[in-house]
Amino acid sequence: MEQRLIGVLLFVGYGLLVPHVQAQTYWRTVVKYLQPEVTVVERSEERLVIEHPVLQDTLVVALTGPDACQCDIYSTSEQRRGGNPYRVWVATERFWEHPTRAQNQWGRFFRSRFLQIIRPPRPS
Amino acid sequence: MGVLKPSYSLLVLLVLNLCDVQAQGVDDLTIHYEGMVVTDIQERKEVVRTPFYRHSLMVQLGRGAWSAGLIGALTRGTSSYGPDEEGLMVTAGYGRLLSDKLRVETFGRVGVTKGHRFGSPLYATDTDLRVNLVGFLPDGWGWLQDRPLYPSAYAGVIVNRYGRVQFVGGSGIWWNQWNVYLTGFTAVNGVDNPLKTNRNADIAFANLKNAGFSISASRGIGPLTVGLRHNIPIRHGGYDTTLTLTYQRFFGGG
Repeated sequence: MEQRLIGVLLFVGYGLLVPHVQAQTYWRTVVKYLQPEVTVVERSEERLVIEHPVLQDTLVVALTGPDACQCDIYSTSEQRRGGNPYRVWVATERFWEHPTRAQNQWGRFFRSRFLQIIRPPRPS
Repeated sequence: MGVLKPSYSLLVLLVLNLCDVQAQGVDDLTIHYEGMVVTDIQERKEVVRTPFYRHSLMVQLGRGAWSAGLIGALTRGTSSYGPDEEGLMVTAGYGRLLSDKLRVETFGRVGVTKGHRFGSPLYATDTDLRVNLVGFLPDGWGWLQDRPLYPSAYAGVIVNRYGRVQFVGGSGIWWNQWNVYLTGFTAVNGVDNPLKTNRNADIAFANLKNAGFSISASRGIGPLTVGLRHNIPIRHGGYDTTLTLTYQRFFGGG
């Protein structure tokens, strides 16, 4: 009886842990390149919300997009023939053409390396 | 300068018409050159100094998961293995994602020119099919100088026209346009003593029961990739070094 209970607990724990680990993996690149003053407000499987406390501004990074995603940056996969797929980060129009957040303020959220990685919005 | 051989004429015609390929719905174009220098050949426990050169040029078009192309090859020896050879192969490939960390790729070659001496190491064409299972991490693993590392590994099998089965496998890392890979291979059947065999002497070198490993490094520079690969035989085969140049152009999709 105890062995069955332990087995069930391990199974449930694995089911809860694996998506969390995978979400951690997805966001690793984004979090790596955050400026020190930026905080992670929300981190889930679907999205990552970051906030700049001084600017009082938040950004939403989504795993999938851009359709129906209320996000500033989303991820997609790219693969070139002969190579392996890799994750890329793409800005949405909401981020790229924000009415109040100028492009020169992007560096207050992300380090320059991420700004070199991120792709401009793609035509629909 | 003499007239181009028919095999190279086909390649030239294909390259000259490449400006039209995008209009034909082609996703990508790959032009791949390999220049190999073989200095010594391992035959059982004996190493024989047998320098020769092999050049090949592949032109490949891709659409979706499929690709097709042509390879022209030229082998030129300075040894007593006989005259130089030229040959042409047609190729086809298919790739498919099995999961977010696993993909399968297949690639086949068929030699279409005749008169090759497969009992000589200078043979210029191969006919075989290879299937590889490739594991990768799309988010990378680890960091170096603030840039992610992308490890990958593969295992596969190659079967040639004579039924020789080779198992291959390798692993490597891609980082900031650099790629380093270590690969091993071993044949489970084939000709075991190419210079002294009575049976299959006419296909001895194209059907070697060989084994070895190779280390390769490459660097991407825009649409071009420059690479160097060195092969070390364990059982039959050549100590060879290959320079590779790959040009890829993507028209969309792919």
